[in-house]
Amino acid sequence: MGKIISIHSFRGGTGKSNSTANLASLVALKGKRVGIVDTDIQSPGIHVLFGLDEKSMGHTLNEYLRGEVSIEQVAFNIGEHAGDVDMEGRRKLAGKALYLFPSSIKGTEISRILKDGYDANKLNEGMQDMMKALNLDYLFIDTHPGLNEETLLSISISDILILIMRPDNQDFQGTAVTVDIAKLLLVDHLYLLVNKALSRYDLNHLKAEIEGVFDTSVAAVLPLTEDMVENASGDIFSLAFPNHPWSKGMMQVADTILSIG
Amino acid sequence: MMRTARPITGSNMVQEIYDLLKQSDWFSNLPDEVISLLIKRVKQHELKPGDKIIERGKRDDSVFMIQEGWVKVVIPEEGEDGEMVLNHVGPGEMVGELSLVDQRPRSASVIALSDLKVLELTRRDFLEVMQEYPMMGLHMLITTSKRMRFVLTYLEQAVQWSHKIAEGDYSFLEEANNSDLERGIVDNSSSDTARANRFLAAFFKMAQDVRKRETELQEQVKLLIIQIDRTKRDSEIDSITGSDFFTKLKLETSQIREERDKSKKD
Repeated sequence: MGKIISIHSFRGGTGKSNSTANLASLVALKGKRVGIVDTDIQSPGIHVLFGLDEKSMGHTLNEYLRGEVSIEQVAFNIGEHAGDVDMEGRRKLAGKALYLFPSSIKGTEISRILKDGYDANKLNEGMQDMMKALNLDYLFIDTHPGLNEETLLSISISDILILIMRPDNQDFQGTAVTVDIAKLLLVDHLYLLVNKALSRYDLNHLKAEIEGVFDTSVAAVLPLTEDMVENASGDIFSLAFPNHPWSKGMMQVADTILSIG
Repeated sequence: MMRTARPITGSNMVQEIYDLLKQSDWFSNLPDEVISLLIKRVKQHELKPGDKIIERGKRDDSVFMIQEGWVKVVIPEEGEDGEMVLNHVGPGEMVGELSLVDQRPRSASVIALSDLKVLELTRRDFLEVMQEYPMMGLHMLITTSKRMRFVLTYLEQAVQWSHKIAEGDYSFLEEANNSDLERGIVDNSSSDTARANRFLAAFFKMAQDVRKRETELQEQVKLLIIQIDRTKRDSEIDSITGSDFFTKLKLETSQIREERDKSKKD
């Protein structure tokens, strides 16, 4: 049975979509069959990191969950299209099993899900069927910031939840609430991922400090890096620059995911 | 520490001192007969590097003019060899004029940096010359006022910066016209502008250090206050978990997790 991994952050700007794309790619690179649910096709997100625009994506996951289309009509096979791109990182995904599922939880879609009485059971069944159909080992969900009902739904069906935060007071409070909610929703494997840590911090010290305060494992503390800013969503950073400290940290997180039986 | 003290004799030496006095700020506008009076009264000293001409705190009241070589004006600080260098002074310039005027203890020490020739004029000799030529006092005042005005402009700048630092505004550190100060590029000459710039550069460096320390402290504080407001956290959790949606979700979640555990075991 495949595992559902939600990547969430309480506030925006934590590098959530970028982290999701990198983690999913690193896991796919290890030979696993991986899917990514891109919850926001209207704004630049995951699909952009894989060089897609809204137009190149067909049907949405919502339509599949409502039984309107088949999963093959929704899934975009990144591994199949990676061979001919000029991005060094993305090209490494050629031949790998990495699927992108556009979905939308905006505006009318949200009310539709709720009106349709979409509950955790139905969502879980839908996701499980989809993973079975494509024989996926891992399904990554790039959730929306905040703690709205859709986010709670996706947390409730997750095997693994990775909460991304910046080491910054504004993120602490909201992340603390999210941690408590995740524990109430019995998430088996909960991790914090600290991103954009300033270089002057002692990263190990920071890790211990945050683990203590949140009583939750920190999968990695990733440095804020100008190199990443320069990359500006052009490529999958950890594949393009595997020796960079940020990439090494991300690989640790990928290894943690892979080690969960 | 004065190793030798001799009067000015011989036409070569007199000419040399005459030229020096005529080029100095203090005496350049005086008529020749007054210069001659001064030459008769000054004494020349020769010193070695490290020799002290003036010692901070001492009560003596001669003024010295550097004839050859360089000196540093310093305020000794606690600890061995500790000192704050206020200024470097070279040929044609005066040191010790404050005590000559007000007879208060020396405010700084003056130490030879090289082989040095200085001319000493005692307060008594100075006053005697001034009695014969009162206008010398006015010349002195003019020179001192000029320098005072100059210093005031720079002090004003430093005070403005101090206010900004107090408000936590370090924007002046980034302003383009301060880039030389920022890089510590200072003119080592003895002109008033160069001196003032050295003073401002020291101030600038201090402000940079203050900003750096402040930023570091802020970061430390940040690290220390990863604290979560318990009450707020609890009330936020209550508002989420209190809904029917959440109650239902929690129930469904338990079922989902149970089923997964079962299928894992199978």
